[in-house]
Amino acid sequence: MFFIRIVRHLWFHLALVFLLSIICTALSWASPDARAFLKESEQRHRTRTQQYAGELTVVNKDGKVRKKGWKSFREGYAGDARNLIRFVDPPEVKGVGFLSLAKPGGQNPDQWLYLPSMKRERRIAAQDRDSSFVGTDFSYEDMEEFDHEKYKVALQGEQTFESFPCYVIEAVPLEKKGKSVYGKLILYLRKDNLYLLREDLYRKGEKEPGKRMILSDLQQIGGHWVARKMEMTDLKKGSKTTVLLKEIVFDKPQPVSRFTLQNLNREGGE
Amino acid sequence: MRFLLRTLSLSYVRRHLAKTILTLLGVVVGVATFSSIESAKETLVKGIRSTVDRVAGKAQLQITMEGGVPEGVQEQIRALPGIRATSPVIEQIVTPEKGELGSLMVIGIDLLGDREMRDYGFEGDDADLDDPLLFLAQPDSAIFTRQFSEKAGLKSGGSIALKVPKGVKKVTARGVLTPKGFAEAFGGNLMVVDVYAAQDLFGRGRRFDRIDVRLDEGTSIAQGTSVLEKALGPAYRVETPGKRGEQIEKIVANFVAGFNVSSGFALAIGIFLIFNAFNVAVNRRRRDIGTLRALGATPRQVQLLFLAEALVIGLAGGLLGTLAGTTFSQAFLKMMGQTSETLYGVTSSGVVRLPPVVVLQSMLLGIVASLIGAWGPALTASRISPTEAFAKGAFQARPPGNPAMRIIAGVATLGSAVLMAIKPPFGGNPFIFAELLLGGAGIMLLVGPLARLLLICLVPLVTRCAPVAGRLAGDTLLGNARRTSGTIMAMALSLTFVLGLGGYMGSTKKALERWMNDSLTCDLFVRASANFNRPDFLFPGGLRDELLQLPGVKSVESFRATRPLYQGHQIQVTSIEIAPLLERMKYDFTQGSVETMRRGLTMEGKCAVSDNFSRRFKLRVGQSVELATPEGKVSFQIAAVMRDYGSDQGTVLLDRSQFLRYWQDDRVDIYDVSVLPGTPVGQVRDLIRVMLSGRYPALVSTRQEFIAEISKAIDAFYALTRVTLFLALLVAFLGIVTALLISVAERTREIGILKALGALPAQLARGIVQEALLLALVGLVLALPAGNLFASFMEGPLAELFTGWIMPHLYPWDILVQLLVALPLISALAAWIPARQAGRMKIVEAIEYE
Repeated sequence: MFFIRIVRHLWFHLALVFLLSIICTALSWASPDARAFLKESEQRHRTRTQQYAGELTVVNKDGKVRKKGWKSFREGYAGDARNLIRFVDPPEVKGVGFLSLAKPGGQNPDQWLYLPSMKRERRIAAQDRDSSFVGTDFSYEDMEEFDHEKYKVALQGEQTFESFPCYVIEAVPLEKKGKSVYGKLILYLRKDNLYLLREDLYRKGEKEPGKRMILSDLQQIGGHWVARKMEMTDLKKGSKTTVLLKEIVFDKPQPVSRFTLQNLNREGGE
Repeated sequence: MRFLLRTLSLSYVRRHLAKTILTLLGVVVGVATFSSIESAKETLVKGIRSTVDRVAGKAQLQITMEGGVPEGVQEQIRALPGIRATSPVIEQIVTPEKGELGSLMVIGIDLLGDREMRDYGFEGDDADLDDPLLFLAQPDSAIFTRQFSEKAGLKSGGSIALKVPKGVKKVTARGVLTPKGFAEAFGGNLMVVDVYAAQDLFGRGRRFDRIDVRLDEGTSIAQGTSVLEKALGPAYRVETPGKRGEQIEKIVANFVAGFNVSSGFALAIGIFLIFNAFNVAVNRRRRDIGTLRALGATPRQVQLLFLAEALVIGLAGGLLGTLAGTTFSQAFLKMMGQTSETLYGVTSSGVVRLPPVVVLQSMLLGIVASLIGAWGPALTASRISPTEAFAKGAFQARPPGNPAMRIIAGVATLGSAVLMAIKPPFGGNPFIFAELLLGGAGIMLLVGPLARLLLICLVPLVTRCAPVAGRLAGDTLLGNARRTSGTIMAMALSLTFVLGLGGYMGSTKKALERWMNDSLTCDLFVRASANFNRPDFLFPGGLRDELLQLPGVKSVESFRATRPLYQGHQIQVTSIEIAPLLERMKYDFTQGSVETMRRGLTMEGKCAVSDNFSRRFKLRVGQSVELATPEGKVSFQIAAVMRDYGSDQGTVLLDRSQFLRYWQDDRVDIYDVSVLPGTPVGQVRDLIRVMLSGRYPALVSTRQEFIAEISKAIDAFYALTRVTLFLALLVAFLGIVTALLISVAERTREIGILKALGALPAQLARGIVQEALLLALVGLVLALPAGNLFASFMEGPLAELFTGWIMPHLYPWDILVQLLVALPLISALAAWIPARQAGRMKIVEAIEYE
C-alpha cells in the first residue's frame, strides 16, 4: 500500500513538471524575444556602407522653414558605425562637417563638428549630447546609430502603425560606459521586414515622450530596405525636422581616410 | 524748544536768509561731493560684481590662469569625478564705432553646450537662435540683448561696426536675448559670440580666458575645488564666481578708495563753514541769548537750541546734498569707469541708482558735520552771561583762548605727526588715520594764532598801499578774531588739500616721465592692445622673425606681461630678451648692477624685481621669488632690484627664455623695435603697418607717441582727483563769500557811520575786496608748508604703504603759480556781492541797525 502511494505521488509530480514545461514552451512560442527581433533586424538591414544626399528641412511651430542640404557617408552599422556628414547647401554653411565614430563596449561614440570659418574641429562633449544638432530637432545623441546592445529591451506588445502591424519594444539605456539623455525609447518594428518605423523618445524622469521619430517612404534599393523620409518632431516645442534621402547607394567601398579627423578638417573633404 | 526754534531761530533765518543759505550750501557741497562719489563708486563696484555673477550663470567654479587657460584643460577636467559640465569663456570689452552706444562686453561661449551653464532667454517664437548652424558657420555672428539692439537700431540680420584689436569689424546680429538674468550683465550692453570666433577675434590663440565648471549634485564646492586643484597644479586658480568677483572688486576698490579722502576733505571744509556761520550767529544773537539767560534759560538749554538749529541745517543740507549728488554721480561713474578700464581692464556699465546705504550715510554725514561745526559755538553761547551779552563789543574783541597754549599744543601734535611719518610705529589704515588726525589737529591749532600773527604783519603793509581800504580791511579782520580764524582755517585747509594732492600728482607724474625717458628707449612700439593693463590681443611669437626681416629694422625684443597673484597681490611678471634690452636701457638700480642683472637673468635663470616689489614683500638680492607656473612652483633668485613703475603692486622681470621655458606661451604684448641708424623711423613704421594690415592689430607708436599715450593714461587716472580739487576750491570760495557777507552785515552800523562821514561806495568796496585778498593770502601762506607736508606724506609713507613706491618730492611750483593768479581773482569775485551790498546801504537804516 505504502509503495503504491509513493508511486502515485511520483507520477503526480512528474505529470506536473511535464505540464509546466509544456505551458512554458507554448508561452515562449507565443511571445517572441525582443532582443531576437532586434538582432534579426540588425542582421537583415546591415550594410557595409551607405551614402546619400540629404535634404534637411526644419519647420518651427509657426511654420518658419529653414532648409539645408548635406551628403552623408556611413561605414559599418549600429555598434561599429562610422559616419561623416558634410553640409553642401546653402553656401553660408557649405563645408560644415560632422564626424561620429562608434566606440566598442557600449561607450558613447566620439563626435566632432568642423567649422570651415574656424578651420578646425570641435569635439562634442558628453554634456553636449542633449544639445540640438546644428539647430535641428535631432540631438547629438540622436545622430548615433541605434545599437540594441546598449539597451535593456522588452517586448511590450503589438500595434498597427501607419497600417503596418508592428512589434512594440521598450528599450532602456543600460548606461554601462556612457550616459544617455533618455530614460527610455519605444520602438515600433514593422513585423514583416523588422524595419524601424517609429521611435518615441522619453527624457529621463518624464512620463510623456519628448520627441518622436518617424521613418517612412520605405523602398528597396540594391536589395536593402530604406526609409527615404526621416521625421523628428519635438513634441514640446512643436517643431519638426525632416530629412529626405536621395541618391542612396549601399555597399560602395569607402576610402579608408574618409572617417578621420584629418578628412573632417579638410575643407570640402568628403 | 519747539517754541524757541519757531520764534527765535526762524526769525533769525528770515532776517539773514542769504547767510543761512550759504551755511546750508556748505553742507550741501560737502554732502553732494561725498554722496556723488560714493554712489558712483558703489554702482561701479556693484556693477562689476553683478556682471561677474550674471555671466557666471550656473557655474559653481571658475578656472583661470595668467595668460589664459589652454584648450586641452577642458578635456583634462571633463572626466574628473564630480564634474557635471564645463564651458570655456572669453570676455572682452570693445567699443562700437558709434561711441555713444557705450562700451560693449563681448562674451565668447561655446553655444553647443553652454546651456548647461547659462539660461539664454532668446527672443522670438521658437525661443532660440534664428539659425544655429548659420551662427556657428559664420564667424561674424553675434547675439545682442534686446536693450542694446533697440539702442543701436539693430534687427536680426543687421550688422554693427565694432572697434576690435584688429581694426573695425562688422558683426551680424543673429539672435536677440530677453533682458533677464545673464542678458542683464554689464547693464545689458552685452554681445555673445562663439568662443572659437572670439579666440581668433581677440588673438587668444588656443586658449580661453577661463573655464566655467558646474558640479554634479552631491559634490560640494570644496570637493570640486580640491579635485580640480589637484589635477591642474598651482598655476591655475580655481575659485567660485563670488570669490573672483571679490578679487576684481578688491583691485578696483584700491583705486576708488582714494576718493574717500577727497569727499572727506570736502566735508571737513564744509564743517569749517558751518563752524564759522554758527560762530557769527552766536555773536550776532548774543542779545537774544542774554535775554533768554536773564529769563531763566539754563546754559544747557541755550546750547541745545543752537544744536537743534544745526540739526535742522544738517537734515536739510544732507537731503539737498544727497539729491544734488545724484545729478553728478552719473558723470563721476563715467569717469571712474573709463579710468578703471584703462588702469585695470575692468569696468561696469549702468545707471547710478542711489543706494539706500549711501542716502543714509550722506544724511548722517550732513547732520554730524553740522553738529560738529556748531558744537563749539553752541558751547560758547551757553557760557555767555547776561551782563556780558548786553555789553556790545566785549565778545567780538575777546581773543580766542590762550594763543601760546594753542601754539605749543599745535607744534607738539604736528611734530609728532612728522616724527611718526619718518618712523612709523605701526602700519596700515590705523597709521594713515593717526597721521591725518595728528596732522590735521596740529594745523587747526596753529592756523588761528599764526593767521593773527600774519595779519598783524601784513595789515601795515596793505595800509601803506591803500590807506583807507587797507585800514578798513585790517581792522575788520583783526577786530573779529574768531570769524577770521574760521574762514582762514577753511581756506588753508582747502589750499593744503589742493597743494598737497596737486603736489603729489605732479611728483608722481614727473617720476614716471623720468622713468619712461630712461626705460622706453627703442624707436617703435608695436602693440597688440590699446589698453595697457588688459591684453585685448596678443601677437604670436613668430612675428618677431617677420619684423626682423623688414628693411631698416636693427633689433626686435618681445615684451610680455602677465599679472598673477603673489601673496594675495596682483603683481606683474614681465619677460623680454634681456641682453639686447640692457644695451639700450638705463636702469636705476637700488640693489645689484647691470652686470649682475645681465649675468643673472640670461645665464643663471634668475630674476630682477622692481624696488616697490622688494619693499612690499621685503625681498632683497640673493633671496628668491616663488612663482606659480604651468610647470609648477618655480623659485627665481633675485639678481637685481631696480626702479620700475610698471605695476603699483610690484614687477618681476625675467629673460624671455625663462618665460618660454616655464610658461610655454610664446605670445607677445609689445614688440620693441629699434631701427638702423640713419633709417627714417616713419618709413619703418609704414612697412610694419603694411605687414600687419588685415592680420593683426597695427598699433605702431613712435617713442614720443608711446610716452604721450602713457601720460594720457596717467592724466585719466588723476582726472577725478582734479574734479575734487576744484570742489575744494569751490568750498573755499563759499567760505570767503560767507565770511564777507557776515562781515558786512555785522558792520552795518559802522558802514552807515562811514558813509555819513563821506566814505564813497567804491572805497567801501575796495575795503571788502582787500579783506578778501588778505583772507586768501594768509590762507595761502599758511597752506604752503602744510600742503608741502601733506604732499610729502602722500609721496612717502602713504605711497609706500599702498604701492611700495617712494616718490621723489618735487615742490608744486606750477600749482602755486596757478593759485597766485587764480586766488586774487576768486577772492575779488567772492567780494563782489558783499561789496555791492555795502555800497547800496542806506545811511539812516544802517545807523539805526541793531
